Amino acid sequence: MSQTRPSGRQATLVADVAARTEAASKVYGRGGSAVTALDGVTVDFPAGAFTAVMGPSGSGKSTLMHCLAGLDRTTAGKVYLGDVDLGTLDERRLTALRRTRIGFVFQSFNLLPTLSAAENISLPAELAGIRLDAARVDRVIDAVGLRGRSAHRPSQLSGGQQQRVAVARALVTDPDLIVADEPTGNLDSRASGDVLGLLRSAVTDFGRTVVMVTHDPGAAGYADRVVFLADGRIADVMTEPTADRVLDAMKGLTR
Amino acid sequence: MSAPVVRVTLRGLWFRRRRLVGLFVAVFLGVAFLAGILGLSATMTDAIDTSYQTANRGVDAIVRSGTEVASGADEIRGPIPVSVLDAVRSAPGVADAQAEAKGAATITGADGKLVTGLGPRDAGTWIADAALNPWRIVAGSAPRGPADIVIDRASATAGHLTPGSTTTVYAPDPVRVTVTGIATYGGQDANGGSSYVAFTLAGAQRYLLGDSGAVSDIVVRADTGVAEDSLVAAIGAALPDGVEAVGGRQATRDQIATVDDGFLKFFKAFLDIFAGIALLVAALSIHNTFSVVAAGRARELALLRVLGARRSQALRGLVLEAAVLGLVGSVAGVAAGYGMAAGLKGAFAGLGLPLPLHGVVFTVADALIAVGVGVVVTVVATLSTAVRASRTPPLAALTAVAVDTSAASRARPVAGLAVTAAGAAGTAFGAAGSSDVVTGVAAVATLVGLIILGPATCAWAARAAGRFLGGANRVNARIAQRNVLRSPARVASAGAALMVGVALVAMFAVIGASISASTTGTLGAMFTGDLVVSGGGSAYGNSGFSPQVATRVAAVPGVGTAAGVGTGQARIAGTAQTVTVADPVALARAFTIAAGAGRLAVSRTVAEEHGWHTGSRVDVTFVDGRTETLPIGALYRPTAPLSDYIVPADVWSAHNPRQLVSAVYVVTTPGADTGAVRAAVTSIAGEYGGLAVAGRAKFVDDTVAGASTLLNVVYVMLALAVVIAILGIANTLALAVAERYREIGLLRAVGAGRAQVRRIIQWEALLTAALGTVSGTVLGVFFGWALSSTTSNSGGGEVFAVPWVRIALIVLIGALAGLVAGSRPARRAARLDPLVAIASE
Repeated sequence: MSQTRPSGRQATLVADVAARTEAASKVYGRGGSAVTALDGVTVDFPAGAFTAVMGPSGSGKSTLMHCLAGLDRTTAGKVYLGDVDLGTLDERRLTALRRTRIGFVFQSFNLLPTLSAAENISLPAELAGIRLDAARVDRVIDAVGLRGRSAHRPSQLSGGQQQRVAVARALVTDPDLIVADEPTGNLDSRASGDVLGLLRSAVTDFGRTVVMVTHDPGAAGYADRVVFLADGRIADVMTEPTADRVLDAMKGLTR
Repeated sequence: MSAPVVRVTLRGLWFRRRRLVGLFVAVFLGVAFLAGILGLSATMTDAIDTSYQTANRGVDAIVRSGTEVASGADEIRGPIPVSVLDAVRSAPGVADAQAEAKGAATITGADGKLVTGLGPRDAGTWIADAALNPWRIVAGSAPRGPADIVIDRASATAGHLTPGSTTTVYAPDPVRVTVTGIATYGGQDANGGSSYVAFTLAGAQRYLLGDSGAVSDIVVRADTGVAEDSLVAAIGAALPDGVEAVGGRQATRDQIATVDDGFLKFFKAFLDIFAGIALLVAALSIHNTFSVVAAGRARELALLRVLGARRSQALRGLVLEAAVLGLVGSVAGVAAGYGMAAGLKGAFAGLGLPLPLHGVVFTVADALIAVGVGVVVTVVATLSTAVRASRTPPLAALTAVAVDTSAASRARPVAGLAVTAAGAAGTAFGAAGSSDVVTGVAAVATLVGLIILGPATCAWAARAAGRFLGGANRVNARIAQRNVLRSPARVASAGAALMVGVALVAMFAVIGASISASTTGTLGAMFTGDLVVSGGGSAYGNSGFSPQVATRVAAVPGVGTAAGVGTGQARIAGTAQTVTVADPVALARAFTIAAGAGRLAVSRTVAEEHGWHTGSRVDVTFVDGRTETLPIGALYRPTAPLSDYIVPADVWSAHNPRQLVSAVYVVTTPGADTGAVRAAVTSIAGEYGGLAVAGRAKFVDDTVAGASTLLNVVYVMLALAVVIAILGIANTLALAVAERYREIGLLRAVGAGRAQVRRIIQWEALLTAALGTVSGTVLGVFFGWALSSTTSNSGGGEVFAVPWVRIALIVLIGALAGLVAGSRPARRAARLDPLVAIASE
């Protein structure tokens, strides 16, 4: 996998924090069968940076991401998006926040099968009752390299193209935070490179903040920082990661 | 069937029980309705059998007039001379013979009000010989003088009458009587829903027959050991011409058979039609649910195939699954059928068609029939899906689940369009040519064609709807519309069930409106009188009233004409007919029917049937067995409340001395004080048990309303089919929501609120319901037009009227029902945790 990354490392130096957690804990179940997914995690996600979250299965990385994106709530501690404490928001406000301030890219099943690529891209804005101007949608479609395919249904697109539509959807509302959950998990290496390049460029060229959960050290190599989780705790934070360094760090975490 | 297939099937059924609830409910409701209807029919049969068997229990022979002008429940025969009694008594083998005179009499209660009920107001003769009398005195004693009566316990209770009470009975002329005894019938308080008044023979002859030389019939008890056949032969040898003897048991069998073949046959057929409709709608619903569930299981079936199951094993498993579901649903349905029968009985009573029944009879045979029909309907409705699902290639286990492709068939829309077009053309042709067979068959073909065309119509309608749905709900509506488009076959099938139900409701609404408009128009034009005096009672209780009323009303100052019109039975051109009896001259002043003295008036409908015209001569056989040939003096457009034949009163009364009247039509003289006339007429009406007096407008309205009673019953009977259809839509949507957990989760993740998700599902429900309702309404109006044209072209004189308000209401209710159907699945979808949906890999 490519070790050469686009420039833009300076983003890590910006003091602004797009999102952060304070002693965030998440316990599933109760009593003897309780499982602690997050155990007092305090971590900052700097604005304008690309952060990868890694860890072995069951380390709590998906839970951290879900809490960060307002899809799940912590059992203790706080999660902030900007200066908004997500714990204080009710269901409706959280939904509104998701569609205006957060962009999502999932591992698979990112798109509504009944809507065209362009319709999928403008879906969050339309749900919010915002009319996007066509030029803007076109620009984003161009940026992800899907010009000429905007009227296609997801079933008419390849896996890589579908993920690019998902990235475009995450970009189009200018969100404060883009959350990606194993966005390349189902893709071959070439399509993975395309999607990771797009996320990288979202940070470098559009100044977005990206948090990505991944298993793949190569994918983490695209990030500015890597946060390692193990047993629900922060195990390590690495800046200027490369695939090899990440791989080494992961070996240390694996029990 | 191999054990693994059975085991896998039964386990699977239990595992999927939640998804199959909708299917179960459809089977359950359909079978419950069928069982209820079978139970109601059995109850009617049982009530009628019991009534006749009780009446003739100790009677070995009946001597009666040999001429019968009407059969079935309304069997009417003329009187016989009382002199026959001596001849019967002296016949060999006769132990006892008693004459009876029969008629109708309405009882006044202690409060001065008439005792009304569900059945006829019977009157007869108290017979001392207990073997020949089905009634038993439970309080007081038998009548001694002509002004003494025994009455049934139900009427005594309702009218607060006890032995010793004096009251008035209208038999039909008012008679002051003393109640000497209270009696029961076969242990029951009354004979079904009818009331009973028993006079002495002399009293019954005087009041009921008006002739002391005549009796209605003679009941005979045989000596011990005398066979029915030889008794009948012995008596028959002693009888004059025109009088016959029949065996008691033979008479019972004949009476039951004529009722079974007549009224009961019609009644059961009427009920069975609606059971059939409910089952058809249930079948459409079952078909749809099963195909959705099967589509969701394609992978599991493919896995079974990969593991070595043959295609036939997969098919057997699916058929077994349907059969088990059908059986469970049907057994539960039969259990609920008892309550359904009771509910139907209540519904009929609530709509003014009370059935005089005690309890509900439910036979094992009916239960087995209902279960059998339920299982067969379920298996047949699911067979095509089972065959298709069993063909799932093993490879499907490893690849993405195959999508529903039934809309993609090119042949289907073409075939659907062809059948629909042919059906519609045939319906219109049949309507123009007044052939009800062609119209009916073509109408069914149109319906089938539309169901075949369903997916294409649905896709087209959803696209059209997509263009109209704008505004703030744009994105919700668009997603819903796309969901409809992804499996138009499924939505069309859910909508089709509703379409069938709504089409029938709309059709009956149109027919009802057309009949109402026709009656209003025809009667309004034909009736030229000012007031109408009528019994106004219930459907059964109105036995007619005394002709004295007409005579007395005619004497009121300001009354020009008072035409007393009765109803009777006669054989015309060989068949038993209900006829209207009226003085042609008086009738010509109240109606635009001028037959002339001694002449018949005949409706255009029957005139056309028989090829009669003015001047044709027609044979009329009267109740006394004599036949007269009468010329036709006038033809008229048929309309309630007149029957198809009007017989001159003077000719009639020569054969029927005690004819009652059912209405008096009053025409005032020019310049008369109508208020005073009305007051005087109302006063006379009051003396005859409170007859109803109506002005011209109210008379027309009441007649129209009377014709609509049956229509209301039809609506109730169709309601269940519509309910099953709505549940089918709810079920299809619930399954769709379950299938789309991940999509809904994704929507929620990218920012759809709970309310938005709910609205998306609601839109889908609305689109489905609108498809069924709108197509059903259009179809129903078309059918209504075709049927009313068919009758109008065959001389019925019906006009075509569309009840726009009612039609709009049907569409509105259909749309609302769609929203109701969608509300539960929508709430479930809205409650879905976005995280769970995303995680469900």
